Amino acid sequence: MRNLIRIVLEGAFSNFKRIFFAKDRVTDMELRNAILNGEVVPDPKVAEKACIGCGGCANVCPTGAIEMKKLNSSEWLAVGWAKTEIPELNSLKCVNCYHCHDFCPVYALFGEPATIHPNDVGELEVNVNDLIEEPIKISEDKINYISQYLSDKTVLKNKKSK
Amino acid sequence: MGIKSFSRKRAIHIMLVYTGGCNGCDIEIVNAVLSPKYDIEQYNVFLTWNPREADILVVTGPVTRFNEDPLIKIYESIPDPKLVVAAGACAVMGGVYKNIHGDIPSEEIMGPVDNVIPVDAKIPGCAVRPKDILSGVVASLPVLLDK
Ligand code: SF4
Ligand code: SF4
Ligand code: SF4
Repeated sequence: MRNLIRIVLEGAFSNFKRIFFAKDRVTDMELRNAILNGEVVPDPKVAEKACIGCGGCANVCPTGAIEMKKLNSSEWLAVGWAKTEIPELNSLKCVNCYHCHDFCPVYALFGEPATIHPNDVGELEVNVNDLIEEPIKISEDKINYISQYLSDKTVLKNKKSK
Repeated sequence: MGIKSFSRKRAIHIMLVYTGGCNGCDIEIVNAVLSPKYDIEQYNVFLTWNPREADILVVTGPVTRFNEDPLIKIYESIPDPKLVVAAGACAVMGGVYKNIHGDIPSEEIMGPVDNVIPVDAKIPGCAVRPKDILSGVVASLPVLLDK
């Protein structure tokens, strides 16, 4: 009987705290304020630092969602290659087909280089100048490991015959 | 403030209609409405499956030929004033279903949604992020209440 009363009182007390003091509230208050103030904006889709400005993404996009915009100051990335423009992605036109992501030589759209799921994986820090001079090479054992899962082995064969 | 808009402000009802697409957006939307983290009911917005009760129609998917007439019927049976929110790349642009055939147009896709019914708000994304749905719907509330 004692125990029963204790359970009832404890339950009533914790419900009181929940209702009147919003204790244990799981709703994200930061998000709530952001939404009520209209501050929610789409995540940036272009890694502007990593992009080398080749314009390929704008060419492959089937819906014309990407426009190349001129940089205020262009930048020499390597001898004979200057980065003069970067893409601007219109979210309302984009159908998220990821053609641009797959096409981009540095995977500068929709997140980090070569992620499995390319959408929204955070900030990206690279030095493009260094990478153009000396690209990242995948090690031999990694390639062998990946090759178990490939149906098309031509890449591997070509690599061996070189 | 009249009694109608007073009570309406306390219970906005959204109705979700799927018109093709992959269901990804529907899952996100239902999760956004019902999950404790996003919890759309804190903004006095509730989910309904009855068009007569709805104030906001949320449409996902590229509107296939089979879905065109039902969508128009649902739209017409919602009492005025009403708002239409197109959620997801499919509803906004026809999505991958309409746009990946190159130059061959698909006869099965009648969308995007604004080809079929008037759209008041567009939410991009594939799938839409819960955050974006919430802010889209919340941002359209004043429009609805002023109508
Ligand atoms: S994901 Fe597809 S539609 Fe979107 S910008 Fe890239 S290529 Fe264009
Ligand atoms: S394809 Fe990649 S590197 Fe080229 S412009 Fe587009 S984002 Fe930049
Ligand atoms: S926008 Fe993307 S996630 Fe949403 S229904 Fe269309 S294909 Fe699916």
